Amino acid sequence: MRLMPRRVKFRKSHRGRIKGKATRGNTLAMGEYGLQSLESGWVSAEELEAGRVASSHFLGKSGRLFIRVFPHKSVTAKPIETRMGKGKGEPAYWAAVIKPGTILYELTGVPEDMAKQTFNRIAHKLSVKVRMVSRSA
Amino acid sequence: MASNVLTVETRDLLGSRGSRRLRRTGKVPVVLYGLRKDNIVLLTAERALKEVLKSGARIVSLRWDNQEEMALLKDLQYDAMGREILHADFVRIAMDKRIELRVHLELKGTPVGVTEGGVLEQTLREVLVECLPTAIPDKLFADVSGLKVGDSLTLKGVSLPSGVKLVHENLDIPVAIVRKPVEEVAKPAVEEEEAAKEPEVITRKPKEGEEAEEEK
Repeated sequence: MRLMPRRVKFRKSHRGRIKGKATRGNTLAMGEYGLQSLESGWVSAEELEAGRVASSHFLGKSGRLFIRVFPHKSVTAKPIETRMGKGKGEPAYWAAVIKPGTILYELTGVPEDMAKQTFNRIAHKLSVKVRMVSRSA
Repeated sequence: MASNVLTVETRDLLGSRGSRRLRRTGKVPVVLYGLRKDNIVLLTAERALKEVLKSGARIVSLRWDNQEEMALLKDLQYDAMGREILHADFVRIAMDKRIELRVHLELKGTPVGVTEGGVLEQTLREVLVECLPTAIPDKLFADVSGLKVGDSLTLKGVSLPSGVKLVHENLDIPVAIVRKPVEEVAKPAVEEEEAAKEPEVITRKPKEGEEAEEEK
């Protein structure tokens, strides 16, 4: 199921600016291996879900995947062929704001080569460049 | 337990600005403190420090200006990407006094539950122990081969070498769990529809005029 906040204070948010690198959520917390972002950007709930599905198809019942980010930000869009003005568009999707260094996913209970293959599959679903990190490295 | 020598120098460049300049030249700022003596600010070559880390040594002999002190690597700061070492903390130790430190915990064996389809999860990767500097273990081991699906191993199950004591107050903390495999259940279409809904908005109620406009 796509991730989305249950309750929000406001439906629409400002775009904001992504400055600097991640100073929180940039270390492994639960798993043996992690997928770390190398870029900043918005990762949509759809992308996160696609990554989760890709990993569960590959891993089956083995291992456990943790999603370390949550799409808190609503992103609005205007309908196509609409003239400018007339206010802000309607919320189109939810996204997680990602800074370089953020750990997006963590994995445990699988050998390293399997983790590598899983993260490779997930990376194809994401709109930011990522790299695999492990506790031993 | 491996012991290593790290050549250091005293430094005049202090603070974030000075440290940043040092790092640009391949050096790492280091501080040495403890045993109720004065703090000493030092620097070392990043490459030398990385070699010491690679060797797995916990007790390091710091050498500078005809001086030598035995110290324990207390803390390491990395940059946001976890690649470069920003700073290292060393604490002086007396070889006859017991010290507290964190030691890696490794699981040994393949649990029975894993062969039955369970997933082994390590919930604690480091344990706090007390021992003499001469008896610091490289790693601690916990045998998980007897765990079935749904079983967990607590700190009590960690095997300790002689002279090493656990500092944790609560020894019932689980270190490893063999979890049941989670099966993906096909979700009914109704849930998908619910997911498409917007979240509840916690704001002021709209004024009467606004409501009237919406009705129109």
